[in-house]
Amino acid sequence: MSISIANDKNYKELISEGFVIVDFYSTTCVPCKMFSRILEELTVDYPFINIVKVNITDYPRIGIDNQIEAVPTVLFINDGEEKEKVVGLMDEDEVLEKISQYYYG
Amino acid sequence: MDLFKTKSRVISAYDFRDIDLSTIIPPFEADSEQLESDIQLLRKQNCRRENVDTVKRDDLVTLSCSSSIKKFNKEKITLRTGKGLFNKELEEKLIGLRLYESAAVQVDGETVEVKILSITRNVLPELTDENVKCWGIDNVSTVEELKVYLTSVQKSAYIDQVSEGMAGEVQRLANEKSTFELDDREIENTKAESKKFLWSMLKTNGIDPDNSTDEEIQMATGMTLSQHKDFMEGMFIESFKSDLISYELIKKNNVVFTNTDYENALLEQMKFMETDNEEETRKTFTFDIFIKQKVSDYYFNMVESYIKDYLRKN
Repeated sequence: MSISIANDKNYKELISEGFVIVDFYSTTCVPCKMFSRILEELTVDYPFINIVKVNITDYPRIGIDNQIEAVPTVLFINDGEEKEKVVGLMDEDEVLEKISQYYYG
Repeated sequence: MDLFKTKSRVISAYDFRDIDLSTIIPPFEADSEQLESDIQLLRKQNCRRENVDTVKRDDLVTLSCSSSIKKFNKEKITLRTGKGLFNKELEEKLIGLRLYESAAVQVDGETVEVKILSITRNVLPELTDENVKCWGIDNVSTVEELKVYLTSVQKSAYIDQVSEGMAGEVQRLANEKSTFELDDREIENTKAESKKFLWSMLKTNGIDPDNSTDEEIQMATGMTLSQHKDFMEGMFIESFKSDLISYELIKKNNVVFTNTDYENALLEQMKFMETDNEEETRKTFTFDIFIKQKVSDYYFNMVESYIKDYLRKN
């Protein structure tokens, strides 16, 4: 498992199975870069967690479909179903708490 | 033909390149903590995953568990021991178990039968030239080169962030030293635009400025409405002055924006808005709006790229 980059064609497939953390970001957003770093760290410790990254500048349609109004926004998804949406920068402990809640819950 | 139609004009434009950037922009300083953290992340990303036969803290363990409690009834689950994301008590009791070992452990007063299916341990590579060379970073084959590379990444990020953030400030300082003949009506229009923008911004944040008291606005935003208005008006007027200078530069440098440029920008806009309704897009993205954006961007980009060059050299 690792970080997957979403586009208009593969997004639905990427989130359809299991537990997925979706990171909506834009390249110019500084908090997004900070969050991206947190996800990179998490991937090392939790290689079994799927992470999907969506650049909303390149793929605005996915952003519109998911009602993304600001970045970073993070979706926690289980088998294609959105469990929670968090707007703004999360720290590592907050993400771990969500993994505990939705992956192991 | 004058594309940027204003009665206001620049009498003398101060050259932003004469502003001493060293007085407003702190020089780049490498962040040693960040450097250590970057190296640590690279070591983790390039760690060796070793299959071992006894569970220790921080191992990646796959197990099966069964119990009368639903949460502890899983054919296969993977966790990192000691992190407590699944269950702190159960994870602690896995430590010391061997590969394929079955055990009955007590969790929250209930018995949980567990069987260890796999144990993987991350072994961090030493920070040596030999290891660094294998990490596949372009032109990096020693620890020293890695540190230089990571510092350059830090510096690039600093340059991008600072140049974008400071370009407006440099423009403002240049405006201060320039002289303008400003048309009263255009300034009033600019203030009206700033109010419209402020109102919409506050409403987006759940505040109705027409039906809120100053206290309520201050409580929610940290500033009173008149402070917001002054700030926003100031910003819009500075931006208007910068646009006047920008247009002078555009004329001086013989930069031309053609109808073809507009048509291309319109297509980009339609693509961005994901619409094929050209007529509607033309109504919102008019030629005048296109020119205003171009004028505004021209000077800003010029200042931003000047700051970037300055920071790269220093």
